[in-house]
Amino acid sequence: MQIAVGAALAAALLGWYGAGLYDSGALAYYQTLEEFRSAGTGRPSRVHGYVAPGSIERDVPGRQVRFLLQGAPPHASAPAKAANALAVAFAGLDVPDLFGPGAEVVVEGRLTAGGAFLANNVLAKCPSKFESAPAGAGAGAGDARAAR
Amino acid sequence: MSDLGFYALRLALLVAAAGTLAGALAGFRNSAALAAVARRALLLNFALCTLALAALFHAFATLDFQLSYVANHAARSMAPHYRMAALWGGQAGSLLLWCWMLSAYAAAALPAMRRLPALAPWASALLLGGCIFFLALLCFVSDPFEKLPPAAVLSDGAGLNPLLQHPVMMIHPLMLYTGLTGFSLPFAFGFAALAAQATGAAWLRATRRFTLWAWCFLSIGILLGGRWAYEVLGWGGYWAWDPVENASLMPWLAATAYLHSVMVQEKRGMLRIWNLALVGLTYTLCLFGTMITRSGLVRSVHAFAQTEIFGVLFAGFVLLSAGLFFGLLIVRLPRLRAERQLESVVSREAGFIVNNWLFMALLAIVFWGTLFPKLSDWLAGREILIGPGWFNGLTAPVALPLLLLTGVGPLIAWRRATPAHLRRHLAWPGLAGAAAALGLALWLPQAGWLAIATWAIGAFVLVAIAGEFARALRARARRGEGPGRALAALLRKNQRRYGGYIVHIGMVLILCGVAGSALEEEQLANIRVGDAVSMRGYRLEYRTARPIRAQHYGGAEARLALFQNGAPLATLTPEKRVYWLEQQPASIPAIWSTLGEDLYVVLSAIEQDGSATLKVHYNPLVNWIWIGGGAFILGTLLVMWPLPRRAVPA
Repeated sequence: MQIAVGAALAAALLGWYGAGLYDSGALAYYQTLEEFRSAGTGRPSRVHGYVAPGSIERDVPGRQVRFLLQGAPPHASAPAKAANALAVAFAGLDVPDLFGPGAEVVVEGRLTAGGAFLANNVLAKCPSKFESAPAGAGAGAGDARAAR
Repeated sequence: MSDLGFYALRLALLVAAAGTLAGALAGFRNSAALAAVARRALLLNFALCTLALAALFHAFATLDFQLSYVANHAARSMAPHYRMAALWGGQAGSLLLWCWMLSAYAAAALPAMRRLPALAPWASALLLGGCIFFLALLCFVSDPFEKLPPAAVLSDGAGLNPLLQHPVMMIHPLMLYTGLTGFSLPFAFGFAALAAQATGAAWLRATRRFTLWAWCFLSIGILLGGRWAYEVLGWGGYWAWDPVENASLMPWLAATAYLHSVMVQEKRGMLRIWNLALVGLTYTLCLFGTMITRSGLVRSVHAFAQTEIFGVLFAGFVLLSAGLFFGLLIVRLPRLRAERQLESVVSREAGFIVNNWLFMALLAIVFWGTLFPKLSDWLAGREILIGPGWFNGLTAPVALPLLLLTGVGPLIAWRRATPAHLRRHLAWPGLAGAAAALGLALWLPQAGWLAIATWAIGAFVLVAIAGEFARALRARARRGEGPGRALAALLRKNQRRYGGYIVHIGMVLILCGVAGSALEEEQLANIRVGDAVSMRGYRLEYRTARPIRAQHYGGAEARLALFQNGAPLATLTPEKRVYWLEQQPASIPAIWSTLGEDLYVVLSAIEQDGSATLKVHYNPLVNWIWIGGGAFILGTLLVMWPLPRRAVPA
């Protein structure tokens, strides 16, 4: 009896998992900038990169924040790499607190015909401030959300 | 003083090791003398851990920057009480706190051990064994008393993450740890019951209050965590399915399932194996959750520095604990027959079994969603992002039947319920639920079926519980008791039952508050001084912006006059801060909170031209989450409050 109830529930649950997994909005891989460049289309995508220092531009009347996304952390990359950067326009002014020059971000949106990436969401990650991370530990840490 | 702590930890490690050995030997050889040694080790271990914790507190109070841990987590500019909270702001300190709590629980279990001498050796061995692990980590991997080389000692420290400098953050970790470590007692006694082959109800009774205690604090911890996120993080919500939130929710789910199924064993002698498995699962999940968040296995705002060795050791400890417990459970399976079989599908015990399956389903969803990003990283080489939408979509359909069961379950009789009895008791609640569903569907169709179902089921459950109270009070009134006295007598005589109802009321209110998010709205506005933004009958007028110059942060605040339907209500001052030392920006929201809704205002920026960019959230019913949380905690306290027993419980 207990087993039958459990099995039925487990089966129902698996069904929900299936439904959840195919729900493309809630579950998605993100691509690095290079991967996105080689496969970039007009499809909705999530692209990982770093905000190029000095590129942030707040367009208050236009309700946009524009910046360049580069593939490597700013201090590690030669300035020439910035030429390969992706121009991102975030449709909103409410970028997360952790967003800033050099911040590690994931942008969600799609490439427009003009070659710019129109983002409806920017997730910022910050190196953990909880403890001085050992070298090479990378970005240890959190997503601050600014969903639209 | 810090040297004292240093040596206390090392000595405690020795004591814990000796005590574990003595306890295990006493268990094998049935030796009372060795059991007494183990008991003394528990006390001594507690004294030494207390000394170490006091030494670290002293180091923070006196800002002893010789210690690398103090230098990394405290700063002169911090207020004294936040300096104290900095003790658990990092890895080594939180490990020490955890270890101290374990040792304190072990010492607190001594009276229970005296009552159950057969279980004492194994329980003390397991409790001290846990301490060994944490003490070893503290001595060899993450030492809070590690000194900086003299040349590296500075006159000021690095400070604590500014987001943690909040009143709630003073107590949230304490509550959470009190809860998480508290489950070590049922775990240890469950293991001891298996080892000593005394799996009757004695160990359950001995640890019931401890389990409730741990569960109560874990609940408070989770609630406070949500409250902190809401008041500080400035994204407009209280729960984001962040791995650390999930890490505390998973043991809570397992423990809640246990608290229900344990009643089946007490009343009907069934589900013995299952209860033991749940006890094992709960504490394993406590350790596991701590491991995944603290070792940086999954990305989280709470991850401390990611040291490989720490994660590997912790994983080993979790596996060892779970392996020991479940290994022994499997060995003992043949002896753990249930006393009775299920007699009817429509019975209280069947209801509890469904309840348990639903809790397990929730647990499975949360577990999977928390770990899947990491699994996909290992298997497919890249991390997947699972959003809150995934969790909400999957957990809601499981949580709703669970909520329904909250109302139905207590009305079903043990063993076998008669349809007539059910019809009589379910008529009014069913009517209330249907009326609520119909009314809401007409009045607020935009809320969506999920929220409407939640509210309707909530109405059903509330009326069902009110009916229970009313019937019992009427019965007492017939015996000539006044209503006030009758209620007090009811709560006193049957505190578990009626305290449990209050917990259920709290849960209903929490879920109804959560369902309010179906109606939330948000608006991004950029306004100049003198202009206003309107939302849902509220009007926010931007008066002025002012710089803030606090001791350890600066920034700006916007002063906004709030009107409702033209009448002035208040001045809201959302802030945009930058913490100097950490160079970390933070948006502190301003919240106008009523029973019906919260107006949650975030200052995104003061632009170059002086205009303010505001994000305004309209969050309905959020307050009911905290009100429900209060009822929930009150009910739990009522259930576990040690009232003198006067009558035999019904």
